[in-house]
Amino acid sequence: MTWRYKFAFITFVLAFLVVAFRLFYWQVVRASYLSEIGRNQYGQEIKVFPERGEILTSDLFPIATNKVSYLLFANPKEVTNKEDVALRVAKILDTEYASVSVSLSLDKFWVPIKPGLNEEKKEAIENLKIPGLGFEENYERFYPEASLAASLLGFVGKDDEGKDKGYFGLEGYYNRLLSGKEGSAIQIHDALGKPVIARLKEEGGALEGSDLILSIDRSIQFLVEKKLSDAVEKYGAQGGMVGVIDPKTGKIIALSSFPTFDPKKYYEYSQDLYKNAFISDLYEPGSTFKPLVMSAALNERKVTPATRCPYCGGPISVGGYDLHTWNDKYYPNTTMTEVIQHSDNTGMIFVAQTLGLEKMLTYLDRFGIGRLTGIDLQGEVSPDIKPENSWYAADLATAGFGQGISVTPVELLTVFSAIANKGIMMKPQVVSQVRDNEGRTVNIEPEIMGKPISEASAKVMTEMLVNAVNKGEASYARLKDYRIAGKTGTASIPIQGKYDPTKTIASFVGFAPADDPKFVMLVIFNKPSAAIYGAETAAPVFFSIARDILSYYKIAPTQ
Amino acid sequence: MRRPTLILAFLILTAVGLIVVRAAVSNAISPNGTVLAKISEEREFYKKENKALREDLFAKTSLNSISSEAARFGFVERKNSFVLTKPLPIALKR
Repeated sequence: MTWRYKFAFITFVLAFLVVAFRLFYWQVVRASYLSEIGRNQYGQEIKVFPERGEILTSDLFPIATNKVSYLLFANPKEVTNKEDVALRVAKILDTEYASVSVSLSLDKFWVPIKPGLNEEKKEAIENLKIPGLGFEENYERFYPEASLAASLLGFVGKDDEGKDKGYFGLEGYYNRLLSGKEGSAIQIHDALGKPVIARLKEEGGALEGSDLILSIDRSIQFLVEKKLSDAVEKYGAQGGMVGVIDPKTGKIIALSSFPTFDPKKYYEYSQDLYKNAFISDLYEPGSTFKPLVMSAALNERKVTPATRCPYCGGPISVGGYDLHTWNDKYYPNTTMTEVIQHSDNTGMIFVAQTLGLEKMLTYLDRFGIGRLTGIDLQGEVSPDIKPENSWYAADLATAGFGQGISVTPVELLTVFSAIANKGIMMKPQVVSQVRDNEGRTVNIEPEIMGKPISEASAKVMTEMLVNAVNKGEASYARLKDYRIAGKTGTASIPIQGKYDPTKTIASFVGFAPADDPKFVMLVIFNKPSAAIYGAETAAPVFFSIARDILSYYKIAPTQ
Repeated sequence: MRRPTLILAFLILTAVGLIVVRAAVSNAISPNGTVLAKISEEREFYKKENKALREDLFAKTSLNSISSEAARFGFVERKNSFVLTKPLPIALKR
């Protein structure tokens, strides 16, 4: 009988082991699979799309926010009397009957009819009580200030998977922060399929997008855009740009380019308008580049404001080229202060040659020419500066007065910020704070890019620029109550290796008040036709905007 | 033999009682799907209404809207500013 006990014992033990093994397999190895089957029995996984973060100006007004919109969809298999339905729906949607009719005739369970519907249209269609029609709730970008700062904002389009994605400007640069993180949730239902509770739990940690708080002052941006668009029309220019920066922090106060686009209907505009010309366009700066070269020479003690040019009495021949002044007027024995005042090309050739090529390249690098400024906008480019052995004598001479060398407007604005800020060059930035979905804010601190020139050199250069405003060719437009430092620029445009004398880039760059600058501003007009000179186009616009900004900042007259 | 019968009966009654109590309590505290769905809908409604009001508020307080309204009311852009550069005496000594 003993073997029978043993047999029974072994059988039970084996059976127990089999059960234990199966339990382990289902409870541990396949636990997640079972859990998923269980979840699917009482609920359904749904995707949770995060709301895109807002973009706010410094007064916390959202210039890019979101609004609820609806996608009308249909289950054509449930829709009866399709022709009548298509007719009634098309009338409410203000769309073509044919497009609705085609959608309803498809042999599918789900077809989109029209996205971007507002609440009123949704209600109007709901009131028709047509079985087989439904709505999907979405968020879409809403711009309360319409196209204000459009080139700065960029726009929100779709990626390959049909999800929202930011392109250009801030939307492109900060896309990941603004997008947030997609999540999922379980919608539980009872035996009859009715929802028991909205969501059982959030899974995958859906995160709403963070908000961006800009340094842009909405009032100044509005003012700048209005004056710029008026001036582009007045001077018959092909386009224009204005950038305003706080030189002490590098924070951009306003940035505008014209013509622009409507970020809501970006697809209706030429793709050329999407990029922000202020950071993406290279141009020869002309005379607005002279202060950079002069600052370098002052800093190297190669010249002083009283240094006289020994060969400025007429055109100068360099490398086989005769180089003239912009108006063919010459000032023998002119001082460096007068060189800037008269925007004297021959005087600047003297300065560039006195500085020398090696030092010229050193200072271009110190001022960040040829490098990205690092501004937090998508699409910044930087010019290529030729290596030292590729420079000819004529290149050095023309670079002295800003021809034959390219910069982006933001580079030039940054250079002038350094002169205005005691020689300290700040990194330009548009976003000053990032606010997460729980309301926590992170400050983006100002960043020093370098100190290309000394405080003393910056002060001397400032005085030369104040003199240029007071006595130069744009003095008629100046604000007599304020000490303002600035420089005009009229750059020829190279076309197929030659300069077209009738087409120019007219500009003015300056800062105010000169002794304690609150802003640096660069105004550029592309190919103005009413007048080609910076003194006649960009300068009056600069002073007109400056007057309003000084008044807005409540800055009392300084002289 | 009497005691085991009593114990068995007691256990069965207790089990039945517990099942009944459990059913009653479950029924009482189980979430009411319709009510919760209604609350959820109401919450969504107010959320949407807030969004719509916010949208309306931003559209009306935008500088574009304010400037066009200002022009409609007859306000014009200031061309000159007047600034007192020196403090003026509030009383003259005679």
